[in-house]
Amino acid sequence: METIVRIADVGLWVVLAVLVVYTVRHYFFTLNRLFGRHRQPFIDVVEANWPSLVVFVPAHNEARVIRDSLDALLTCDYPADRLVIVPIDDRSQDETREILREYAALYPDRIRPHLRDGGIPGKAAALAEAMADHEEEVFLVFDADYIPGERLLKQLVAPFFDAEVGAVMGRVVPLNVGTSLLTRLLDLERSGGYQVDQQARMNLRLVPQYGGTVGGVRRTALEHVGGWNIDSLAEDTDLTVRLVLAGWDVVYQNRSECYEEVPETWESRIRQIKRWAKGHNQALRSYLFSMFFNRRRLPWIQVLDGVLLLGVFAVPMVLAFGWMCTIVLFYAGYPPQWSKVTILLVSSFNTVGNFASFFQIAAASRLDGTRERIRMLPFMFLGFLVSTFAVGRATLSRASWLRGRPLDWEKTERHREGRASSPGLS
Amino acid sequence: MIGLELTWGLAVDLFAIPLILSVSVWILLDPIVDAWAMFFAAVQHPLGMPGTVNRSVYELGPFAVAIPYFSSAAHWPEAIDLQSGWLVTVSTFAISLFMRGRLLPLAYFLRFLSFIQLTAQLWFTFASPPFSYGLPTYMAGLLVFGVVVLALIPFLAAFTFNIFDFRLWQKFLLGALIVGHLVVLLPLQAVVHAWIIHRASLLSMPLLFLLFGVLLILFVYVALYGWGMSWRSDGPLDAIDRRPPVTPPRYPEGRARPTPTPSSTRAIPDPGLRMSRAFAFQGLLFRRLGFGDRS
Amino acid sequence: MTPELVFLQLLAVLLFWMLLPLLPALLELARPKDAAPLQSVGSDSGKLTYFATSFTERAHRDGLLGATVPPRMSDGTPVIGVSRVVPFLDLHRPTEAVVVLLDGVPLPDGLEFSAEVLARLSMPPSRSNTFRAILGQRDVSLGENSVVLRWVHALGLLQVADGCRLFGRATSSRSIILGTGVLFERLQAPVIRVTETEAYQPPARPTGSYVRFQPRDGEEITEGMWHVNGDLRIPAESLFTDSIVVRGDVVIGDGARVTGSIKSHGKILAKSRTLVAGSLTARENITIEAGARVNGPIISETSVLLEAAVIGSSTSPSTVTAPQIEMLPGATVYGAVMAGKRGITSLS
Repeated sequence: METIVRIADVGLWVVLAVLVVYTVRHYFFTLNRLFGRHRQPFIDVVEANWPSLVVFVPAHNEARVIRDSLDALLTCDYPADRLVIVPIDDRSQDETREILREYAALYPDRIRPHLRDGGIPGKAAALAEAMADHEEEVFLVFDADYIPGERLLKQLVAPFFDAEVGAVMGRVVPLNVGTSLLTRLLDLERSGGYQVDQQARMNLRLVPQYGGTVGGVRRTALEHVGGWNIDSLAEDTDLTVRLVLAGWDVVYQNRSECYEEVPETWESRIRQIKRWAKGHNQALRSYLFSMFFNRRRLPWIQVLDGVLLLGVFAVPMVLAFGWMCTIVLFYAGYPPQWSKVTILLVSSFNTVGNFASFFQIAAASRLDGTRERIRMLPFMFLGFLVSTFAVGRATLSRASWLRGRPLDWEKTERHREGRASSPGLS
Repeated sequence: MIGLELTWGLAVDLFAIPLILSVSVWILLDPIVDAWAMFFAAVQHPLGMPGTVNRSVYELGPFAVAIPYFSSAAHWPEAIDLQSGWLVTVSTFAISLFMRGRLLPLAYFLRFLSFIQLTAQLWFTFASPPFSYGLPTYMAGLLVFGVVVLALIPFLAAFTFNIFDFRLWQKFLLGALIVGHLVVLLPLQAVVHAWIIHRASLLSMPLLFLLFGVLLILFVYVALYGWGMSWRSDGPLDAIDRRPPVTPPRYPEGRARPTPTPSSTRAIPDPGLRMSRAFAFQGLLFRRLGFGDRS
Repeated sequence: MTPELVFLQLLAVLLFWMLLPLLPALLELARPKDAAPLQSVGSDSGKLTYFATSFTERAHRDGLLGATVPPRMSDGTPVIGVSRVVPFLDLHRPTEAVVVLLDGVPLPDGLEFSAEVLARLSMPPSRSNTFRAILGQRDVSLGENSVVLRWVHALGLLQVADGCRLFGRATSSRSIILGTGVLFERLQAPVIRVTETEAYQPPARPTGSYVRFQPRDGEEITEGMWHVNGDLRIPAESLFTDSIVVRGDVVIGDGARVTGSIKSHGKILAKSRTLVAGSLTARENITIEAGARVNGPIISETSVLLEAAVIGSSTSPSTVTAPQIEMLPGATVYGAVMAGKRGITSLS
């Protein structure tokens, strides 16, 4: 019994130390975003000899939304002779493929669909297969329901004039904010994650994360690090870490914004976060050691940030262990002081998955020029609760820790209708 | 990119304001704690709590504070308490399994609640008295923690609220509101906990300690903080627009749609398309030559 | 009253008190006041001629480009037409009307215009005027010590005399010629030059005439990409055909040629007659000496000093961007110059 109590006591201190580190990290990032010097060196590149670009649009049952996405890409101001759009249809069961054929017929020089009827399922495998056919200098990836602004392609390509940049990430902004309580909470969370977290990591030259959409990668950098990892559920996180370990930079551009749809139901949110958690944990398992003993002697602060980034979805298990320790100590007659429980609770609120602290979220909302939505902050507790369970289950699953091919194409449900009529028939 | 400037005024915001509030708490602590004691004395008999309202002096750094509490004891759970507890725990968990959709967060909360209570059920089923904690020490501990929170929470507010571009009176106001709210919340919470533990036995103490103690204080802080952060400010981060929920069109209004390009270059169709075109042409040819059914 | 009832009352008070701070959140949930997506998404902040284009559309709609000038615009802003026949007589300081210059008559010196100025023909220079914004349908000349607060766009040549201050955007569909001592922020034109001095451009040499250079202390991490720890000096008259990331400072020697791009964690100095086909990116200062030519963008997180060098080309425009940019006489940029904090043209 004494041994158990001692383990629980030490365990609780370790857990609290981990949670304090994450909390301090959130706080420090917020202070940097509020008071620090902001880095956005590429946003003003408006004229250049733009490199050849291919935009991949993975699509699986996206008939409702794909037309608008393709129309938006076709009307971007990127030089038409340097841009190829490659929608990737992977065994869609709806009219996606017919729509892609229609667009390929109307825009034969610009749209070249990649149609899959076999091969390993999943977004990473689809991208790997499609990219193998292309020699353009820069690859961008957009989800099928994204509507890029006219200048967005140039904005996302501009960082690649820096020879060190391997990948770039823009900012996704929820479009369906007002639909439900969940969408409002996710909007707050996204705001904190991008406006503060990613930008602070960019400012401090840490590890902004490439998120797999509204972003891009340099072809030579991708080839250098071995291409897409088709075994991974979070191929974006996986690629981010490999690029950083290989000496490439990842750039975040806060002003390169694109609308997205966030999950509108708790069930779809749980599926989304479980997918992210499994992928992140796979990357944690694969690269934790490499991070610490990297060949290129990355700055220690970058290593620390990389490790914390990788560990973000393992924190709920750390938290759960902390709770177990607290319970054990309580029953054993050694109550954790109220202060320890406070830290546990505050950190629980702060640190789950992609959750930014309430402070970070509030700061991000003010920086975005909004304020009344910050009143929704106490409802974040609901999101925290759901995420903790979802991430916990994902972390305990086999997929988190063992390499295995994803069996299904998992994606977020679409809720918005696309255009009813076909192009060119008005 | 928008942001704030580091100025000397921040030192006032981060240290002077919370210090003033904190010192005010210490100065007013005796009257506050006396008021709590009077409240306990007033409700003790109507609540049917036996014993008296005692006070113990606790040393908090250089300060000493006489914390009031009920002297009532809580009993070890009897068979009926355990059985009722099992029933409530299992029922709560079972109900959570039927919650879907928008009730999912509540379902998860109930499951977490059930889990904590399950640990209590198991402990008291297999353990023997005495329990490590008594009601008086529990209640006093809750209030001692509360006093510490009252003194320190202005600093938390300073480092999370005062650094923004709000007006000076707003920065004082939020800190004072939080402290004032907790001054009323803490004794209410203590009394409710004490009554439940006294009536429902020690079986209820773990759940109250772990889930309904600090969590309530945290929840109140975040709610008041969120409200404060939504106030109009005086500086660069102020926002004046009201933005009710709209459903913007997926495709931006005013943005042109692309025009199909006439081109002699055709995309290479996939084999299926080629095959179907071949068959269609063949069918057309056959019909033109008089073979096959025109319809 | 039974103890249970008293408890329930206390519990109700506790719940009420606890939920009171939640009231603003509940109200916002029930009656959302702030639940719209961020509006800035997709806005074309990168188009420098955005305001000029918008004003041009307004001018068309409100008849400012017609034979006669209306007394007011559709939003009620008064309009003053100025010509040789109708000279400028508005004695208000500042002038709050939109001023339409109907012919090439110069404005008096020392005035302030808090609304747009539209020049239907070429706008001759006048000194020490302060303009909110100028749209020129042909050439626009700003006299000495003029100030533009928001934007100026010329469909012809934009000529800026010494000592002017151009806040916001200055664009031209043809070219921008800057005097010395001009402060600017964002410039865009097919060609931007400081003074009329043309930068000397050495004649092109065949690739074979160079000596190939390979970094001795570098690592080729992948084909065509090098990493160097420490400083790098590319020798004069040498040829480097790859791209490189240098953790120290970079000096590109006289007459050297680089066909790739260079990134430095320190400073970059491109000495005279160097030719860089790609881009130059640095965390610290970038200096381009006279006679050098860089085709790709120049991006610094600190400052850029452009001597009489050429950036970009008429067929392949480029961008120079940094928080601080200084340009000397003869500096020529085909494309855009974007100073995040301060741009200035200096004599030396």
